[in-house]
Amino acid sequence: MQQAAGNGTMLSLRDVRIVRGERTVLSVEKLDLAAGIHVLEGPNGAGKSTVLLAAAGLVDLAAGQVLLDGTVLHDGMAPAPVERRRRIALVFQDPYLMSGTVREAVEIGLKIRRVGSQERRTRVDPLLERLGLKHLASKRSTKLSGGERRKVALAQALVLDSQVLLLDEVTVNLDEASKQTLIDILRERAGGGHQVIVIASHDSELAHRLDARVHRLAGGRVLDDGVRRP
Amino acid sequence: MILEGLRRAFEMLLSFDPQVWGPVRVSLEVSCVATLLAAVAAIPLGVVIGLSRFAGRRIIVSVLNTMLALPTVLVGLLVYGLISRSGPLGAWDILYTPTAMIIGQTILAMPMICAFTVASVERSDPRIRLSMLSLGAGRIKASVAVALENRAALAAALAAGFGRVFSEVGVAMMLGGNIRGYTRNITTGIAFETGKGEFALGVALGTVLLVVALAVNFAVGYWNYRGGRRQ
Amino acid sequence: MSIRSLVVMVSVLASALVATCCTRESNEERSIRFATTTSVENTGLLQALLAPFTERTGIKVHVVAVGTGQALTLARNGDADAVLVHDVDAELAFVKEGFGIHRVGVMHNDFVLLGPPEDPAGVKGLPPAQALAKIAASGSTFVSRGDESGTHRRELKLWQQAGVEPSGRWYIETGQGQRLTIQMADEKRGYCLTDRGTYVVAQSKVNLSLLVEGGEELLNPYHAMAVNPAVRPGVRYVESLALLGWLMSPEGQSMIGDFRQDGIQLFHPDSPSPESLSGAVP
Repeated sequence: MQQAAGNGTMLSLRDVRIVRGERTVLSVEKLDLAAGIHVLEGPNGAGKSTVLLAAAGLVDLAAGQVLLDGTVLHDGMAPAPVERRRRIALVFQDPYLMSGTVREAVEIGLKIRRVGSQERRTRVDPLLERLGLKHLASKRSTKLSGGERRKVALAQALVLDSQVLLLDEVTVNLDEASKQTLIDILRERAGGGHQVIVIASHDSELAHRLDARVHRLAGGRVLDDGVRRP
Repeated sequence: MILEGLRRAFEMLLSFDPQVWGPVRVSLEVSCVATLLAAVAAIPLGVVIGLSRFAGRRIIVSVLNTMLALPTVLVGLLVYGLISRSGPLGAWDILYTPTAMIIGQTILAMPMICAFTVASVERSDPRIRLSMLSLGAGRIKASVAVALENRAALAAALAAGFGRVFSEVGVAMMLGGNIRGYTRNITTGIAFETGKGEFALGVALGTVLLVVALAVNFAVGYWNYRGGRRQ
Repeated sequence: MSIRSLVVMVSVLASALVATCCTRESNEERSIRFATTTSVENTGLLQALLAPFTERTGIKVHVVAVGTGQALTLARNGDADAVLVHDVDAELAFVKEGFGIHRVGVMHNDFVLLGPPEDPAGVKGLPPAQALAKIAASGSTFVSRGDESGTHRRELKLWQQAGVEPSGRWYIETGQGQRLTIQMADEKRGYCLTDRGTYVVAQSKVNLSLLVEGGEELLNPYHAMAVNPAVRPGVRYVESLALLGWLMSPEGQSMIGDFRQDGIQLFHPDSPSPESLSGAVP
């Protein structure tokens, strides 16, 4: 299926160890995530969010490397160099939106990458439309509901078209229609065959609807190597 | 005497007596410029200290907090020694000028603004910086975003710095020299007029001092109240 | 607020700052620092005297009012361009060390001894040294400037003549200017020495009587000097000379003589008296 079309793109963790205080919170010998959709499953504290942070270059690595297509993305102190981090987009479990309008919030990543205003508009507008945010475009981001904020945070990441898209518990607060829209978008992107999408989620039904490979985590370790559940 | 002083003070204020408004102008100009100069250095420094974790950081923060109580006359003495014509920077020829007062007050305001900035950045939402980094921002841009998201708290830091220099007398007296129409500001004016037994003028100047200090704090307080947002 | 608008704001502020500094520089081109005593500044004489000088020459005079001792220290450091002080011994030392030149007698008035109207030490009308000796003997409060000012130095000289080393609970050193020292003598119901000018200005606001006046020992001459540019190259010498010239000019001198506070003459011009001419060449 979509994942089978995966050609070179591959996000890999090699011997990654992350320590908080005295405690090792993540220890991954080898995790390869090919183009397509992956869901990280596991109880709270299993290390799902930490894998995402490591892949995004936002947490110090005590050991090991994060690689994208064989080149190093992150291998030491956070934050990783900015040009490496720009190949990745991450949506946090509990996103923070900078003050400003919804449109400004969604454009932030593009602005940081010095994308011109014309192009920003042509990339942002369809996404706002599709996520049902268009009527909120000039609303202050501080005045949004939980679900709206979640969608804005998703739009912030999706608009970047990065090679790697990391989503932490993204379906919380989303109504069914928005959830379906998100699933459609993600499946389309995965269909392109060059984007690695990694989702940390409690929602096992989500993995099924996304036709994703599932990696179970517990106690900071990866238990299996990407099973696809029917 | 106080009541009579008050009555005459208000007459002077309302008739735009230059004896009152001259020092007020000097105070506002010098203290505003000093506060802004201090802010240009102290806010970035405070953001960096507030966001980073390095050995010796605690020491720097406690030194900063100690410097909040830096006696104004000590700063005055130090700068005086530097800019006196027989001092190392004597060639600048700036003793007893508003520039000298600005230098002294900038030094006074910096630890205040810096310490407040550190405190507000430490208390600020850690997600701000992480969000910016995850969207591809460099460290500097992420830090600037932290500052901007905390702008109400930083305004309070500025107000604290301004309050410190606007109401101080030591630096203004030692480096400004209380020259009429040139470096006499509100506080040295009050000291001088009391020395002359002119209570009315002292009261008029004191009233302006209070009103400005209150207005600044009220404005900042209002902004912080309005900006008190939670995500 | 975006980063760009922040940058714009900061640069606007910076350029405004530079602009203010530049205008200040150009304003400062013709200005001098004139260190003088609180006893002169408190009377308002300088304000009246210097306005026409600035108007005519374009030279702004920045008056720093401190005690005589501090005024001479400022001048020694090159932080004042000219001084107007009243302590003959210190002045002559200042000239001898090479710091001061063109010393001229500008004006004089006299010192007076003030005290509570009931005069607890009973000094009214006595010669000054005798009066001080009696104050010390009776243990009445005496309020001293204690700041190396001209008045303070004169007071110490009088104590010496009286053969008294002033110290103890009755002897209060304020470290403040003349006007505030009178104020404190009033509050403490004590005696104090002051120049007549400040007394006249303060008179209506305090409940102190003039008890001792007159005589050679209480004469209070003020001399002006320029700071020697050969020793302190930074000083504004030409402007200082212009100011000395104005003080000694017939116009300046008559303004000093005509200056009144509450209808009372505070200072007597000294030029061209033989006294000032002899003072010019120590």
